[in-house]
Amino acid sequence: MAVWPSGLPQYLLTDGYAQGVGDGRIRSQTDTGPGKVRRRTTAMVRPITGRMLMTGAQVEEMMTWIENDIFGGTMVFDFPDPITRDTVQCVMGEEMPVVAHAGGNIFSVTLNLEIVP
Amino acid sequence: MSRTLSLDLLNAMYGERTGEVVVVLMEISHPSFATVYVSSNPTTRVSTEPLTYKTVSNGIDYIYVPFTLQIPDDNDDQAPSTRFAIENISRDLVGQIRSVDITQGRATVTIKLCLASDPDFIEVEFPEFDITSAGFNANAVIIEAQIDAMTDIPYPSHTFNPAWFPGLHQ
Repeated sequence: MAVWPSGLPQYLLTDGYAQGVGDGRIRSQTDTGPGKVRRRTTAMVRPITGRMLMTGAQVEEMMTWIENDIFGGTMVFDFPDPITRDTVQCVMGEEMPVVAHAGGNIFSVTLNLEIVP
Repeated sequence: MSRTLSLDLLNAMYGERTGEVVVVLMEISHPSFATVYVSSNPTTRVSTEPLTYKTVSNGIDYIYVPFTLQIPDDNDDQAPSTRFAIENISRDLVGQIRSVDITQGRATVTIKLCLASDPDFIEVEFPEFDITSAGFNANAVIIEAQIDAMTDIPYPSHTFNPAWFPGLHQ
């Protein structure tokens, strides 16, 4: 299985970090009241979003890794959990990484990941 | 025909809010391939490459496949029938359908319902439906099945045309 490259930053920046809770519910809206909710599945992906600062060379390394190791963002890979520091299995989320220039040779990379159950 | 359902399932079905998940387990059998076991719920992970999940019920691994199921009806005037659509996530499914040797009999499907919290206890079982048709498109494989298909399928299968019965047309 692919592993997040050791030459890249291992943790997301605090600024811009967000983690969601997997939603495995199905909701039925009623005319009045709080509606009905039931569980639809027991396994949900947990979305996380965050940023990393990388050099130009690191951005290049990440792009090569995405293309060759996780085949354009389709495969599961090991990634350090931003909170527990344990290794978790992730896939790229709905959006692929976005690279923005942060000044000099520094780039801000926004990652949209999903931790698979 | 009435069925006896457990209190847990009744509470899950009629409750306005419930954490229970009803899991559909299916067993598709035919002499020309090994029995296929599929589950509607990704209970535990099997592997990461490919990313595969399963539900274990009574020692059998039911592989998670996204599908929609129409629960068999219960009409007085016709045999129960069902229909389910398996998301066509792999082209292997199409190959398997095409490889079925119909001379060895119809494929059968058994449908079971259980709760995710206790998958070993089968709440409802719809056994041995005959698969009467299997079609597919780019998105899904659609399979129709019914009990005792012999009563609803035209017989004989041939029509009295010149190709099959030339003597009738001389």
